[in-house]
Amino acid sequence: MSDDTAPNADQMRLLADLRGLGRTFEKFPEAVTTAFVRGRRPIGSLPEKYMPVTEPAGRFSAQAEYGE
Amino acid sequence: MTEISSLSLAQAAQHIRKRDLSPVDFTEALLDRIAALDPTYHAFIAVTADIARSEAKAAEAEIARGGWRGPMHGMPYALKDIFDVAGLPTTCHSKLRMNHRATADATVTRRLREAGAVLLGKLALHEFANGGPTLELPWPAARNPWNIDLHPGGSSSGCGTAAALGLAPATLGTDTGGSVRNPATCCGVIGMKPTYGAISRTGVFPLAFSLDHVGPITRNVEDNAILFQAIAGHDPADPGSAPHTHADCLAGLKQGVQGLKIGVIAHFYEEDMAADPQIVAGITGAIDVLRRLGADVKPIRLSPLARWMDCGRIIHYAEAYAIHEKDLQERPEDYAAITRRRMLGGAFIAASEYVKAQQLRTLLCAEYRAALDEVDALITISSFDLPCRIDDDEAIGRTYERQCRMPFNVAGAPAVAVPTGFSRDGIPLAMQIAGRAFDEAMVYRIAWAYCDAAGWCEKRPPVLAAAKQKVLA
Repeated sequence: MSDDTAPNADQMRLLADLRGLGRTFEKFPEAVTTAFVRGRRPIGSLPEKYMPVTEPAGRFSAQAEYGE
Repeated sequence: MTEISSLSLAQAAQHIRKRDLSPVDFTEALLDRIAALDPTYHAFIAVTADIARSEAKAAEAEIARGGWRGPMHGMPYALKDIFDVAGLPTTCHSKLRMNHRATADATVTRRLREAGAVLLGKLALHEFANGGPTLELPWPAARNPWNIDLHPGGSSSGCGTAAALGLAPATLGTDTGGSVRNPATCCGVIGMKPTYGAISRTGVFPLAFSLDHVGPITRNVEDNAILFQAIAGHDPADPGSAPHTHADCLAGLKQGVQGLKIGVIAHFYEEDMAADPQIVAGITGAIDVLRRLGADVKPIRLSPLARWMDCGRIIHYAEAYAIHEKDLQERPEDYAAITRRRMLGGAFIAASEYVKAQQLRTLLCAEYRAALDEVDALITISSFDLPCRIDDDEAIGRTYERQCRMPFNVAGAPAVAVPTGFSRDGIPLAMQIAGRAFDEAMVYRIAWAYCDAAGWCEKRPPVLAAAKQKVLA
């Protein structure tokens, strides 16, 4: 199962259950499956400067970013 | 002679100050216009006529006693129905919120109340600022004033419609990935997403905390700057609010662009994604106008658009899902299908991907800041496509992806959508002008100079030509 491929119905039901979305999947299986595919889409490309130790913007602050 | 209900905010403020326009008459003229047009265009979820009449009367009495508070005194305005007004429901255009009642004003509501403004009502939106126009919701969707069959943009759809039809001289929307600038684009008006933290979001229902902004939508640039000025400023109750005093956006508004350096992010629409040629022609014409006015306009490169969009998408989905998780688990049927589809995406984002998006955001912000070391402002297009049909769900879904607005939410930088002309079918075209954090003054200055020279803001939807209104002698 790759990131951009929908799992089969049994796998999807299990994944939905794990996320507390069992009832939602029963009622709207297509929406949950589409959401899975969409949600698993990774960031396409990262800049050359990116490193796994890059400090994240925990909460974006314009003030901090711009040194105001 | 000018029709009372067609007065701009700036014009009306001058007349009200001089006491040759009564806030009560102005309010009544707008209520008449709303009564005439809104049953067709559905900009409003609720018209607060009683509140408006009472506030207009109070403003008139105070101004008559010599107590003019400023340009918003006696000025009618309307709020996207995502802002709290004490005693009124904040529905977020959703069945889930039909029984809500706000117990306190949002900070911006309080600031407008303190400025003496007059609340006309609450405006339509996409459900929770994230869905789309649909018949599943308890209230109808707002319509495009230039062609009723077309999408008015969203999610602040009622703001765009109301501003373009002159139903309210001042409206406030919210923008997480373009929701102020998209309706401004589709409706041919001015939509400003200011710097992150410049306007308080306390009492505004969130969509994605680290991308949410409050922004004004008005018919012209000066009106927009007046409204921004009235509500911007630090709010300790909003954790994202910046303790920063922004520059006066009105003092230098009409200084022109002679000698300014403006960077065009052309690769967004020339290389990264294909845009409708009419939209490209619109910004090309705008570049010519800016050069004619004396600006030095040159190309500038940022990261590819997809990188900005991916970063914004992951943060948006994850944060929105965190807010809606319980309701999506327990009562998913109460969301419209388009909202449900969009909200559920966040359920499956890996924690590491969200962290990566925040790391990427740090780098993109630094990149944006460096680009603004070279120029005073940036311009690029707003949407890649002209407004689609309002009943075309697939095309509406694509509007969230095929746009250049999200980069400025990621950067937290001010960006305004301004009209750049009209399509062959008479539908508005637009571009964005963006600037440094807290430099709304520069963004407004360029927007004003361009709009004044180009004249597109003067054009009104055809339906208004037929409307007969009271005139100001």
